[in-house]
Amino acid sequence: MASQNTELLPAAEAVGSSQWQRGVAKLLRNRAAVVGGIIIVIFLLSALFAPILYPGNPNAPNLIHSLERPSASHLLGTDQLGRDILGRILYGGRVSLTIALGSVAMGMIFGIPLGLVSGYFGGKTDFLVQRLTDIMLSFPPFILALALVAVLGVGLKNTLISVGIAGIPHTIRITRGCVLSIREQVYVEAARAVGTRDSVILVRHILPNVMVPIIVNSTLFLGMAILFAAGLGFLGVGIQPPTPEWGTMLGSGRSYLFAAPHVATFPGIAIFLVVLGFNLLGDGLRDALDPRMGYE
Amino acid sequence: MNSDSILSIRDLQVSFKTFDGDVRAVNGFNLDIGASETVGLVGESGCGKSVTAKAILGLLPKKAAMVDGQILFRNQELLQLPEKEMLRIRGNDISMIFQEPMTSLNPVMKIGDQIAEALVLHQDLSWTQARKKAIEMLDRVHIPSPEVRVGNYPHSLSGGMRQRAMIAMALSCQPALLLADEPTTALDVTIQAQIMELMLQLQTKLNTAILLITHDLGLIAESAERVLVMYAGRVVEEAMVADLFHDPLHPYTKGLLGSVPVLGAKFKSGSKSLDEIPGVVPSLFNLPDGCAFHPRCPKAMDICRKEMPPQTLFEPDRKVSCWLTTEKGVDHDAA
Amino acid sequence: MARYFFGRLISTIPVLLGITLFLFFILRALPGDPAAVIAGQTATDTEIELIRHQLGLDKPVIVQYKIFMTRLVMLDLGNSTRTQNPVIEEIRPRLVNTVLLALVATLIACILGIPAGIVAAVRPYTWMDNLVTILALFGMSMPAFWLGLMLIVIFSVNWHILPVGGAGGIEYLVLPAITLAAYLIASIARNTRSSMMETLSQDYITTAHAKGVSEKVVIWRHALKNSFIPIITVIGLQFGSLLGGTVLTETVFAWPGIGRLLVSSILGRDYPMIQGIILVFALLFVLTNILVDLIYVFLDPKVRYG
Repeated sequence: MASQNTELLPAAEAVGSSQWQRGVAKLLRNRAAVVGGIIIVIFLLSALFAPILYPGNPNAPNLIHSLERPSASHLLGTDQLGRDILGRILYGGRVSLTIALGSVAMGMIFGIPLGLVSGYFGGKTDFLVQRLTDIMLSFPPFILALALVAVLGVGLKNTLISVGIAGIPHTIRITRGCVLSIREQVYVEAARAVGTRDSVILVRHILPNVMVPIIVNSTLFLGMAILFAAGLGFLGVGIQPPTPEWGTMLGSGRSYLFAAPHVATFPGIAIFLVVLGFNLLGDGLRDALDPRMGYE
Repeated sequence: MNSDSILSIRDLQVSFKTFDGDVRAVNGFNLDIGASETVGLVGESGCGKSVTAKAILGLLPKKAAMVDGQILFRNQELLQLPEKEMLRIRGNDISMIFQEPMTSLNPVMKIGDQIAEALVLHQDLSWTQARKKAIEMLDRVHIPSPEVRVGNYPHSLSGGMRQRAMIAMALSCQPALLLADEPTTALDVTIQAQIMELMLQLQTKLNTAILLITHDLGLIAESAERVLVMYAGRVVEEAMVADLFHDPLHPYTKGLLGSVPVLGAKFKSGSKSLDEIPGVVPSLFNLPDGCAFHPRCPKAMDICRKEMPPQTLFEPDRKVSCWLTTEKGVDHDAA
Repeated sequence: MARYFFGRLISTIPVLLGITLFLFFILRALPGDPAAVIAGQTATDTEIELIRHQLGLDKPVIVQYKIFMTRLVMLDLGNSTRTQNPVIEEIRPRLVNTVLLALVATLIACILGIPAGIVAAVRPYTWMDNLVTILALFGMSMPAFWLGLMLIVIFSVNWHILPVGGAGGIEYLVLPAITLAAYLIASIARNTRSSMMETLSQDYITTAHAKGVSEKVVIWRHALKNSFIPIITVIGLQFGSLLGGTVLTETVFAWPGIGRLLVSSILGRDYPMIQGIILVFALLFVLTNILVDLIYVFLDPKVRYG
């Protein structure tokens, strides 16, 4: 008859699958995060299916229809070369997606191993990596990306690399911070005492725990990457026309701000919505997966 | 209402609204404290003792907590009092000290200022006058070099000294009632004794009543005159301290006293291990029907599972909430 | 305290050195020949060689670095390849404008962001809190340059109350400052909110209430000072974003600062200028961080009094 409520002992050590399940459940309860997720899904789908949604060449000029206001045939109007803005935005989504994923991947590929090694082994490696990170972090991030673009040149590839590199020091810091706190945990000591090799410890025990803050930060950084790339594009030193990138479109649309403000407005709304989506999702992830796992 | 009690609580109910439903933290709590009396409130963690104290002062979050019942302080119904009036009572007529002196003092405010604040608020002193009085108070709680300490920040003081400062802060306006929520739990045993001694000394001088909330039976035995035993939001037994320890009536109280290790004692069961109360404290989300203790009670009867026993008065100064006692009468020899 | 200050200054020297090294080698890693670019399309090989010799690009890299550093210490950053004026001369007047813009933006951000965060923290989950949270999220997601353009459309094109760009009186400062501040307002509001909420859940706040302190006084006297430390930290961390933002904002509003100069230098391949401006930005950032550290020390009695 009585309810036997046995106190559950706190789950030990590493992030188990049940913690992920609980996190997902919590995430789904967060309405803002769900909205963000929906936005991102729409973004992904529209980018993937752009050719189907807008058959035809989005870059082909059609000067007769230049600078037309939104109408039935051109839902978002046309730009200065008569190109359909909606179509360009859809294709621009692909560009933004490429940059976002590419630069975040770069950050992870270089940042996580460096952070792991630096935090786990300490000593001279740590000192070296930390000083390098310090120096890179002394530059305002966007300025760093600008400097890299100045060196490497313009275009999609270089924009991706620049934004990617600009994100590496941050990833290193997060990873290292996480490693430092996990390294002192008893179960790591236990593993070492049993004779487990360092590489195995890193992969089996430390890496899974590092992934949690990394995933949260990467989601937020996806949004940042798009903002950075758009900023570079707007200034004319990022992705070059005729490739449709939202920032570049904004930049070229700037000259027509008085006569045809819609040319600059809609790409900006696209950037805003997508970045908002990533921010909502990232915030939700952070709340759901454990607010105390060492963020910056 | 007892004519010489300054605080009289009747049927206090406190519930909290949470995502997973309503939690009943206090379930029909009754209390009388007379002037200058020291009353102990004892129980395990989570039984509702702190919540009760906070409810008296109106410190529970207004949105999340639903408080019902009657709390009479000097003939004023505290639960009906507007906030402005409550502000005048807090720190002035009724004060509270807390368990963790480390975190209960503002780290970026000088000790002297924190004590002076109460004086400025309630006794209309200027900050300069109040700070002088603060030095006096620090001296009264036996903090050495009070003129220096008054300008220190909390982190420069040891745990024991911080608790003394808290006491100084709480007693600065000579309240009629001091609510002490686990005042010595976070301190070393030797310091505990000193602090308790200090509190009792000041109590005599200032004529302050104390409600001593703790889970430490030894503390109660040494410092309190009367004691209430609390379980799952209700008082299960109330008696004068000596009576309770010599002759506990409620099975929970018996279990508590039986589980305290005593050097060289022989246990009635003949075993050499500590007697414990089987089972665990029920989750407040899922209180059992009837008497909350029945799942763990060795003497549970049918009626215990169905109906909550009322708090009944046996003998003067002796109250028990138990069907056993109500039905059979006081059974002094029940094992 | 003074000792701490000097200690911090001294510890930044290796970082500054590192920055110069980093910049120096990065800019020398360019694919392409600056000498050829400067000489122009129609130059002959001899002419390119001459320019290369003039610029000292034919010397070994270490020697180049030594020359670079010696000149740097004497504040000689070389000459702009476009105007032939010393880089320092080009930067100096514009630097003032950028710093002014940045400071005004920070001020606006604090004046708007901190009270918003406090209100949200004190009345959590009410419509006020939700409004602040939503607006803050918007502010952090909005591309600043787009916001600037939209503000121009509204205030200059449609309503004619504020000028489109350039510098002059205060009316020229309004829109750029607001645009630049947008992200920081959002950031500060969010951090103030979470910091205040954290502070308000602390035990000593309960103690203050138990003393009979009214809610307003609790917030003002007890909570704020404790919450400030994380807020100041955030401002320091975000200042880098702010500096980066000046590049975009100045471009949108044709504000004569070093941000805009940087963009034109990049487009014009004016490498000495690029190098000089980036150095200045990095220096500004490092100095701001030291300042933030000092304020932090001042606010936290544990560090101050030991």
